[in-house]
Formats: sequence, structure tokens, C-alpha cells
Amino acid sequence: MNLAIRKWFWIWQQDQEKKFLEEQAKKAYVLIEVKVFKYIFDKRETKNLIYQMDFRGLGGKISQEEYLQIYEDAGWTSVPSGNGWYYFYQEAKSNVNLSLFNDFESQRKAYIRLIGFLALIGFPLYFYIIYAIPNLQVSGFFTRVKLALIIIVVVIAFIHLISMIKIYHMYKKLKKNIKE
Amino acid sequence: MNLRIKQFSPLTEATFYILLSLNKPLHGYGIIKKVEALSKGRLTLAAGTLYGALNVLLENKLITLIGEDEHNKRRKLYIITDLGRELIDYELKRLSEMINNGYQEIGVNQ
Repeated sequence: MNLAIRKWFWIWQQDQEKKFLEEQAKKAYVLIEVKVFKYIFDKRETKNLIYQMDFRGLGGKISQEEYLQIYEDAGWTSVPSGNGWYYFYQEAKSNVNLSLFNDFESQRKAYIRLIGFLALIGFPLYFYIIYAIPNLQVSGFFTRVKLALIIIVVVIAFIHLISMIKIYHMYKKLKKNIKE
Repeated sequence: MNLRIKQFSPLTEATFYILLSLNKPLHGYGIIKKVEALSKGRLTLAAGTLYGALNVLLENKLITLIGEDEHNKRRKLYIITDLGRELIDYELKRLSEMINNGYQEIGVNQ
């Protein structure tokens, strides 16, 4: 039987999200689909599962099909997802660190992919604010609509800014770990 | 020597072994197995590391696509390019210089 849980994690809450999914697995609920605000689980015989999320970015030269094949070959089961992240799980093994990365260098590059993508989607947001707000005419029929739109964009830009800062801090922390 | 290859040096252990294993055509899974064998089980490439490295190697034309597995078309086969081989040669020379200097300075400690 399926179980749907409505839940939202911010982009910087990957650890919490992982923990949430792994706790569901302990109750024998295995993730079968991720929607934007919703996680769908299936009741199954299960042991301990390890979840990992991966951000593929704009893809590069390797197709999505091949990307998933590489992860499946490495022992991961992929979960269909509609929120831009790729979700994988496999059964926990003792004494094996089930990470998606072997070294700091590849982990660092994964962060750079994410930061690069965030910067790219941020550009039109900030451009719109810089361009539209000073040019706003307070009179006129569409003022309220325009104002509402600007407020929405400002809120999104604010969340975007927090995301950038948080992800950048996570990246800094990783780099600090490398040096130690 | 192509000066462009110097920018990739030093290679990470994972990238070095991936490049080395592509002396013969292999797909992703084949690379994982080959690297495991070469390192006698010490190094098991994680999926994200392998994927990231393949992307970078492809973008810089250090490896190239040469076909697909006959049993599973989603598995693409890659092989090292001449430029990739130059890079491996450069790394091998650099590493053996380091090893020789190490032995010379502090001796072999077994």
C-alpha cells in the first residue's frame, strides 16, 4: 500500500531530507516517487536503506539514460523525481561507506555544478528586480498586478539568496575539511 | 608535447585510474570493475565520482565515445584519446620522478 507524505525541504536541508527518507525505510516504507511537495512510499520488506541525492546540473556530454545506468551499475536504485534532484538508495552494508563520491575533488565539483546552476537561475530574478522596480509606474490599471508580481519575484529572490549563501557555506566547510 | 595537458596535472587518484583503465574500450561498469582489479580491491569508484570524471574527460577530449555495449545500449563504451595518452605519459613520468626522489632521499621503508 502506498503512503504519501507532504513535506518540503529547502535546498540546504539535504541531510535532514536524507534522514527523513532513511527513517521511513526503517518503518518499511520505501520511496517510489518524489513530487514537488510530496514523497510517495511503498510498503515493502526492507532493511536499512541509505539514500543519496544528486544534482546533475545541465548534464554535460553524458545522457540521462547513461547517467542512471552508471548509478544503477554501482548498486543504486533510482527513484523517479520531479523536483530536479536525482534520488538513489541501496541497502546499507556494514563497513562500506555508501557515498556518491570517492574524493573531495569530485564532491567539490558537484557543489560547483549546483552553485553554477543557482547563479544561472538567479540572474533573471535579480535582473528583473533591478530593471522593473525603478521603472514601476504607480498609476495605471495594471499597477496592482505588477506590484503583486514584483512582490512574488522579490520573495523568490530572497529565498534564492539564502540558498546561495547556505550552499556556499556548505562548500566552504567542505574545503576546510580538505585542508585539515 | 601538448602544453594543454599540463593544466590537468596532478590528476586525482580516481581520474588517473579511470584514464588508465580506458586503454581498452570499457563502459562505466567495466571501469569500476577494472579499477577495483588494478588496485586489488582498495579503490571502488563511487558513481558520482565516476560520472563527474567521465564528463570532464569527455569535455576535454581526453577520452572519446566509441560505441555501446551489445547487450545494453545504455552502457556507452569509451576509450582514451591520443591527448589522454599524452597526459598519462606525463603523469607517469612525474609520479616516477617523485617516487625515485622519495626512495633516494629517505630510502625504501618496508
